[in-house]
Amino acid sequence: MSALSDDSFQSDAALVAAYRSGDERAATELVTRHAKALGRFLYGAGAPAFSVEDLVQETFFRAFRALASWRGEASFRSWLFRIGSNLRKDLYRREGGRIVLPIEDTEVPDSADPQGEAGASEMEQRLREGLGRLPRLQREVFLLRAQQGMEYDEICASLGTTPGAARVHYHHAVKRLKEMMG
Amino acid sequence: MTEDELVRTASRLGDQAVRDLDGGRLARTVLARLATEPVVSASTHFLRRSWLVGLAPAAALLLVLRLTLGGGPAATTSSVAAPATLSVLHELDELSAAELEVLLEILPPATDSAGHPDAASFDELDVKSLERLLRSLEG
Repeated sequence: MSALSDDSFQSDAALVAAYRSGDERAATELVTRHAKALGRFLYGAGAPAFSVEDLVQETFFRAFRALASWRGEASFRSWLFRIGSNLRKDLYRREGGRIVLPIEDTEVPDSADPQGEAGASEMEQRLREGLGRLPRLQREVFLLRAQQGMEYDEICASLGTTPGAARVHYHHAVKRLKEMMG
Repeated sequence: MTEDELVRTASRLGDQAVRDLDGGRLARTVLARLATEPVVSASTHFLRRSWLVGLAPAAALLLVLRLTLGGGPAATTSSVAAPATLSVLHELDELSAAELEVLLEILPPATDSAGHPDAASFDELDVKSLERLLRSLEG
C-alpha cells in the first residue's frame, strides 16, 4: 500500500489516528497539508516573515506532543490554529505588547509584472499594518474568515469565542480596516 | 476600499512569507524533535498547574505572615497589615486540603518566634486548625 499517496485523501482525524498508531507518514501529511495556511495566518497576525517557519514548526511540535488532548470535537485545523494563536500571543507578550513589522518584510517581488505585483504587495503591507492596529480577537477573526475562509463555527473553536461575538469582531475589523486603508 | 477588496487582499496575505516553506522538511524536523524531547503528559501539566495555583497564594501568605508575626516593621502595626492579610486569606478559599498541607510544609518558622507565641506554635497546627486560625484573623 502506498500510504503517502493515500494519505492525501484521508481526513485529518484519520491521519491523527494513524500517527498515534505509529505512522509517521501521517504526521508528514498533516504538516504538509496545513503548514502554509498556518504560516500565512501567523504572518498576518504579526509574526515577522523570518520567524514564520520557526513558529509553524513550534506549533506542530506542541500539537503533536499534546495530541492526546485533542478529542476531535473541533477540527484538527481549528485546534492547530488555536495553538498557533496562543503561541503568537505569548510571543507578543514577550515583545512587550508590540507587534513588530520589520522593514525587511516589505518584499519587492521578482516577477514579469513588477508594478502589478508591487501594487498588490503594497496593499498587503497596508493591510498587515492595519491588522497590527486591531485588537487581537478582531485581527484573528478577520484573518480566519477572510484569509483562511473558515466558517464562524470553526473560528469559534480556534479562538474560544462564540459565533455571535466572532461576527461582531469580524464586522468591527472590516469597518476599521476600511477606515484605515481608505 | 470595499469588503470584497479587503477579503481579496487578505486571501493573498502571507503568500510570499510561506513561499519557501517545505512541509516535508518541516515534518522531519518536528518528528526529530518529538523523538528527542520528552513528552509532558496531560496529568503532569495538571499537577504542575495545581502546584503553581497553590504556590502563588502560599507565597503571598508567607509574606503577610512575616510582616504580621515575624518581627518586621509591620509587626508592631498590625492594623496596617490587616487589609493585605484579608486579601490574601480570600485566596485560600480555593485551596484544597492537600494544597494547604503543602503550604504548611513550605512555611518557615517566623523569624522572631520567641517574642510571638502564636508564631512559635504555628508549625504544630493541623490543616483544620490553620484554617480556623486564618478565618479568625479575617474577623
